Amino acid sequence: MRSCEKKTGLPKLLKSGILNVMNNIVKSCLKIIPVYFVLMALCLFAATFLYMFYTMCSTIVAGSRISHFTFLHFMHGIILSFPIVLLFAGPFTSFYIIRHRELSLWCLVPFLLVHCALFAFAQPAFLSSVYDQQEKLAPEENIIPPSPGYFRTLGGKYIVYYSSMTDVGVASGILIDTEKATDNLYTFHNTKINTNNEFADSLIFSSIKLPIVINKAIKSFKAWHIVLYNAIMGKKSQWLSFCSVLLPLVAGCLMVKISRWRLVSLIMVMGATILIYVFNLSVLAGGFLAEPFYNANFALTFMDHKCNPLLVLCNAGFLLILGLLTIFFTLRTIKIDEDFADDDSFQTEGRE
Amino acid sequence: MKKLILILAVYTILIYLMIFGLVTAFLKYPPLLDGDQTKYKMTAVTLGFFILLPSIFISGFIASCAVAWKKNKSKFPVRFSHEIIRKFKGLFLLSLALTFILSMNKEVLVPRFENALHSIESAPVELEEAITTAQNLLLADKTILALQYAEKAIKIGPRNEDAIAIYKTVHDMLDIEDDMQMFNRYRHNKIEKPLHTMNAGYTILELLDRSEKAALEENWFEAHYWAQLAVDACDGTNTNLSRASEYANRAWKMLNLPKGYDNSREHDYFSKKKEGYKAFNRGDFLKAYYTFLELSRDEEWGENDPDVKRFLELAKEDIENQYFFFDETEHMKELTSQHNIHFSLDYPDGSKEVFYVSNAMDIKKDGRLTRYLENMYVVHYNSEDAFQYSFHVPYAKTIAVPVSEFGTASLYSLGIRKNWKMVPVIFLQSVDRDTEGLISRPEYSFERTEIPRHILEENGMTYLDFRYLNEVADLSPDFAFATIKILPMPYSDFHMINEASAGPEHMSIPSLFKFIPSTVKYGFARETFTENLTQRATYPIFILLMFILCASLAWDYKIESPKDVFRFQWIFIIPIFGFLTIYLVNGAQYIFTVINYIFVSLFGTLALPLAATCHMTLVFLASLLFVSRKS
Repeated sequence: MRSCEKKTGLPKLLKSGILNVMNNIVKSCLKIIPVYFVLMALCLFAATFLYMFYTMCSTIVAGSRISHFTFLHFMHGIILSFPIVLLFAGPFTSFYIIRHRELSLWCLVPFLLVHCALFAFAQPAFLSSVYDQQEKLAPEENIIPPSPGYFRTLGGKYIVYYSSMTDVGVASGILIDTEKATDNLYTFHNTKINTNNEFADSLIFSSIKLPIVINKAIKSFKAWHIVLYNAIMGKKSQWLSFCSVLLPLVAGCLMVKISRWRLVSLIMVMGATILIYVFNLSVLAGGFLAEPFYNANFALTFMDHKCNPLLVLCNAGFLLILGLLTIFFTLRTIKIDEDFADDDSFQTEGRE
Repeated sequence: MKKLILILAVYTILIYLMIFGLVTAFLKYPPLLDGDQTKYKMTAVTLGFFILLPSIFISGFIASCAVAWKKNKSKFPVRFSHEIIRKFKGLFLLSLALTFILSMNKEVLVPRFENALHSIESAPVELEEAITTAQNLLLADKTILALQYAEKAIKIGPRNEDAIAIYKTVHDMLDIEDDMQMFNRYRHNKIEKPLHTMNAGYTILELLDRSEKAALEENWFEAHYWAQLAVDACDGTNTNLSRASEYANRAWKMLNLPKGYDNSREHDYFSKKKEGYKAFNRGDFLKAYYTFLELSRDEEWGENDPDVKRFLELAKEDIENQYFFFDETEHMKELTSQHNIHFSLDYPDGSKEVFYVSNAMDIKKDGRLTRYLENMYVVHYNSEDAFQYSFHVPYAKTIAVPVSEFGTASLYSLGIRKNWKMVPVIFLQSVDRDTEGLISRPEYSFERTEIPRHILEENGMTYLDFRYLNEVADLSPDFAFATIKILPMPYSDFHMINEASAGPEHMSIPSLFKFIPSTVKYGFARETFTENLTQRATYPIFILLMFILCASLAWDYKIESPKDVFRFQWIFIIPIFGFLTIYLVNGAQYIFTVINYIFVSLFGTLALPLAATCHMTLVFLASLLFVSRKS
């Protein structure tokens, strides 16, 4: 039976015709580019909406309702979510390829080329134009004092109640120190309260505050923005060396056929992307790897130490490992696929 | 379906073991009672497992669906086929079951295990406190109270030697004192009808008979007391009024008649008794109480004088209607169950009061709930929100009073509604049980205290020296210092405020539902409470939606061929998968929080039904998505 499989493999391919295969490849490639952009647009829209809503909530106080969204909020949402969405648009498109087995593996090539071009050229162009217009895009500084008539906790151990409040945040009311047993209630007036918090009202914040794990992710996104800012505002060579992160990211996206169980492929793509992202961030954004890398960079003299030569090497190393893994497992999967296909055709032929 | 459940169960158990391994490896024990280490570790492991249960179930569900539904060429070639609808039915039932487990987990198991972990952590301190208090009470001859603490100690540390020893000692003491009868009375919480109510329960003729009988025995105090009760009961119209008045007058005359005494001490005793009785009659119960208390200690006559005993009890009862005794709150420190209670109340005249209580304890006494409050502040604002005065009492006592006891006019002026059953009445004055003149009254302050500098700095606040806010603090001429506060709120709300002060997450869903309409009235943000209710009530729908969406995901990413077996190497992706699902579940839940919050801020209290409808529609759409799958 084994010998039979091997014999039938090659002629079958020839029979279907090279033209047919080419046709399939072109179709796949034409299909995947729109999918890539649609996925990106959807993610961008969702992220922008979430951002806009979160910012609106930061300006409302208990007893008032959400006012309409402004265009400025929308712009901010787009600017902030674009680099993050770009980072994950690659793996998301890979998920699409994993899901639709009929797509040829060749479609990875145009999609990843577009992805790299967006990352390496469109992203810095877009962001540097944003940095130039920073003043125009700055949000208006409005003082929104919390509403009177509600109890709020302040800094974890105080309870505060404003009996009256002016437009500029001068209040009178009560403050309770819950850590003291007696003489712990103070009545005050003519007191200017702190209005520089992220949220105008701590009560609203307590309702929609982010869960710990999500907060960590958001923090890392903020750090990614800073990393991007430094790389874009630095020399050209710095940006180029930063783009070395694309190497392992692209290798991650290639793992679409790494297993016969498509869920495993999906997890591997996502896992690799997150691993590369976290690794680069922990070097570039002052994480636990920042110091050893900083010291080592001086020793590597073939590149300016600001360009992080060690990180470039590491990314190249990741590319190598992930690439080899992908090639090995993908070839194996394709082989098993063919074996099963042959097995099926053999069985049906036998029955006939 | 059986295969699906089996894989899910094995996966869940594997994760539990994994958490167990991780906790065993990295757990650092806090100081615990001897023998509690294993219990602590198991509680911590189980709590961690329950917190992660949604992520575990969802990742396990995806994995087991993807394994169980291996691609099969002969089946489901088209969308909406019978086979997939049948598959969906089984899947929906399983999802419902898992949703039920997860909802119970969130509302019941997680809070319960959090509390359990906390109580194991705090057990050493509590046990020591209970043992010390029991010992001190035993030394002070308060055996029954000591028993309460010994029982508490046994409950905390059933194997602790000190606890067993003190419990045994207290029990022995109880046996020796032959106090078991009293003990049983305490245990069965026997309710004794207050004397006043009992005495006022007689008919007028019975009262007159009692008065006459006492008069025959020349017991003029008692004769007058019963006759006076009969006069009060006649209400100015009854035909027996003249007879009652005649009896009362005769007894009073006899009381005031000069009488020969054997010695001057007897004379003093009798005139003192008369003085006390007069004070009792004119309503000066404090004076009457201390006079009769002094007389009751007179060894020669007082100890056996039935008059003194009777009037001491009656005066005590009257005092308890206006004051309470210092010693009622002596175990406050140990028994306090709620902390930092705060609320505001509006009065019919537009003024407003803000209440703060450091600690509160509930005690069932005479069959009704009594609440003692420690360190209570009340701050009064007039209708223009300007500060007027504040007062502070170290201790206060609250009882529930039926609304029917107030007249219609006073109901209106107090702002009490007729349909409330009970309202809280707070006694602000307390007295010493033995010493006359020791009275604790509310301390009034007509000036603001202002916040100390370090607290201002800590919170980024600045005191502006010039007058920025023009507050008028003129008191109305009819201002009276309060001794009793009647709160215009149902007693049940007063009870719920305890939980509300700690935050909506500490309230049960039914009480949250009941409390929401009155949140703003008591100074709580309606948004926060409504959001919490909406969030918790729609949680099952959210989880169901997640399961159905994940089933579609599992279908799309299932194992390719029916001939593929589960490979061992796939086991290694489980940790990565679990990690990713934690983010997936948390992220999805946050998006749901946001959607719910939009409903809350747009539609207020209607948010819950609207959000539920919206989420149900999503569940329907997700179901459609699943049944439209094909091979």
